[in-house]
Amino acid sequence: MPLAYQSTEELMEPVSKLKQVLVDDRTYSVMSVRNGGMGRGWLLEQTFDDSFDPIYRRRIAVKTFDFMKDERAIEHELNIWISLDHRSVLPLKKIGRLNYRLAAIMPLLDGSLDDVIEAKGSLNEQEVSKIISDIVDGLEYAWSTFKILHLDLKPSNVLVENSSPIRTKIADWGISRLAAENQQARGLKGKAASIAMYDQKTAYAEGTPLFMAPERFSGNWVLSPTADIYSLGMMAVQLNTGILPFRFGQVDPAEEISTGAFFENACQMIENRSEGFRRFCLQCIHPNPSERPSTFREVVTQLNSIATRGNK
Amino acid sequence: MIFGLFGSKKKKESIADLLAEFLTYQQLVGHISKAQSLQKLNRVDEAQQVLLEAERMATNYLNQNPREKKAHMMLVLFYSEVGLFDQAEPIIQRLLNSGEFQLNDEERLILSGELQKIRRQRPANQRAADGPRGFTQIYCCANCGRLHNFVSMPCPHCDWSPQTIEETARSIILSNSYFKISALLTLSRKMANGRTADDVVPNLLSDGKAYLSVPKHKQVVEQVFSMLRQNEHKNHRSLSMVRECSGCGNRVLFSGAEECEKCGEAVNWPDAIRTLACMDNLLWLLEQRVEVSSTDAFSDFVCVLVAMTNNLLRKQKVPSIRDRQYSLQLLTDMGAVCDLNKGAVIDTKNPKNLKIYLIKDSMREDSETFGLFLFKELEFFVVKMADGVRH
Repeated sequence: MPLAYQSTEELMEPVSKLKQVLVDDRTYSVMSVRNGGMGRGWLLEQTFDDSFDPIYRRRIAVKTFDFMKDERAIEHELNIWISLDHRSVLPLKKIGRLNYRLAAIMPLLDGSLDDVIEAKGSLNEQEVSKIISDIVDGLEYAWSTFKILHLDLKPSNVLVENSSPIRTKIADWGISRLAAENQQARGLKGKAASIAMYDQKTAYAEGTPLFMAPERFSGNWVLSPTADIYSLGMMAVQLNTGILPFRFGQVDPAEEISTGAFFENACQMIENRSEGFRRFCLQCIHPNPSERPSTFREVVTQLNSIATRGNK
Repeated sequence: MIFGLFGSKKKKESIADLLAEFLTYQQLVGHISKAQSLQKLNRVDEAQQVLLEAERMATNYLNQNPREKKAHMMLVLFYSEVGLFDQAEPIIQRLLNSGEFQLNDEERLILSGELQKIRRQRPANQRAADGPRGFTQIYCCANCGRLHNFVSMPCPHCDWSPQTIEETARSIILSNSYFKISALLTLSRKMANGRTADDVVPNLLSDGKAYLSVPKHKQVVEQVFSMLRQNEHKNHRSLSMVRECSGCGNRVLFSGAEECEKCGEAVNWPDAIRTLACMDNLLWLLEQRVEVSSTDAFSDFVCVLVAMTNNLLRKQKVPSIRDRQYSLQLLTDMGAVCDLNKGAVIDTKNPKNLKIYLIKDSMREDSETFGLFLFKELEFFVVKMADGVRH
């Protein structure tokens, strides 16, 4: 049969058997599909040799959403995402449709920091500092421009372009939040701001536990950059050592988070690193948020001093 | 052999193809896409700002390069994409007719096509008396008789496409360029009853030959036929596949169906497919059941329905606010839609408050069934036209 797909069922689900999908007016072959909490990430390649288009490139990534879960949450994510325009933020190229469902079309990058860790094992201090510095740049932009926090930073949400040095872009603003006191943040007015504010109460419970600051489990924390700074610190430790500071299989990570034992583990794991790098990581992942750098600018300053020392 | 190394040169089919490698065009498309995305999120004011910025970008480029034809084309593309056809049209006319620009055959053909498309998309009351009939070009499939939008692609209802130059010429003739919409609907109805297009339309075979004897027409037919052969299976979408039950393969009939009427399987269609099924049903009812009217409003309603069905099926493009509002206006202008023999009459003067009347004296055995079917689908259609298609 010369058709792009076999049946409506194949159009919708299950995705594992899907070989081709329709993205707006083009047909794409499915390279891979990843299921996430809010939807699916599709890596696609043009089936036919269509003419060049700045949006519908030969290879693209597309995110689709699970509308059974929460339609407002999806609108929220798209509203935040489309407003962000920065070299360290993965751009949302277009809101289109994949198999007749709403979809976010984005450029296809070479992988995520997860893939980098898998391929290289670990990175040296300068490489880590450069990567974290790029990410902080994007976070500082989102915070200073829109008062938005990401709240789900982890290696798989930071995409990379294979280059030297590695260039990163922050993805997946699905659970990001506007800070409560800044509903009128510049550029996000009216409806967008109200959608972004939709659920302050649940912000503490969402995210990826191993990268979530301990206070976020308590339910009475206040949105501030220290939450994202904690995740940055965890990523820095993982990128530099190849592992997270948890004794998996021996102790329940939830217990290590609540007792602060992870912090002791991290102290041991990076004890032979340079003074500046060690201090940076440990300050960022300190169980007490008031001990962490309180602003992204402060993080940048610390990273700059590590880079400067590294260059000497 | 050396050509193989560099690949074959692709045929350009649209203004976008002509501008593809142009950096300013790529930035412009980025802006348009962003504005369209913002519109989808109901951030209309911000979308407007982005479009103004894009327009500035295109006009600045034009001011700096007034002799460059691509600078003019870029502005045409911008205005067409955002639906400002009145502003696109004079630029195309200047490009085509002023003699200021040297256009090759490919560029001339593409621009002429764009001009025709723009003129057709005008509401009926704004069209010139000698202008093209109907909101869009529509064709009656020479195989199944259903109405569709593109002769250069297989029929979305039966997957048939002309296999010879002669068949292509006949397919082009079976369109609203040569027949009134009411005549195409009559043809469709007769073909559904088992007659062939050649049988219903007298002299179709000889008209096809006569058409091909005009060199200008022959060139168009050959081009369409070549596009058909090239694109026959490329990005093709068929309504029957989209409307298929996942359990038994049966065609799900009602746009609002929660489960398959044959096997009981749940129908988990997204809103876009429900809207598609609704418009397809309405089109079928207009072709087969509704009393055909020769008013402009009725004809345009058929055309708009074909155009919106095509856009949704082939481009996954939901009806624009402009088309939605126009559809509702046409329903109001039509005043009523009647099932066969006027056995069931639906008052459409106020589309948001449709009323159905069963006329006892003119009712046929199936008037109630089809009248209610038409009423339900029209009701669903009005909701989608008023509120838009959801995620």
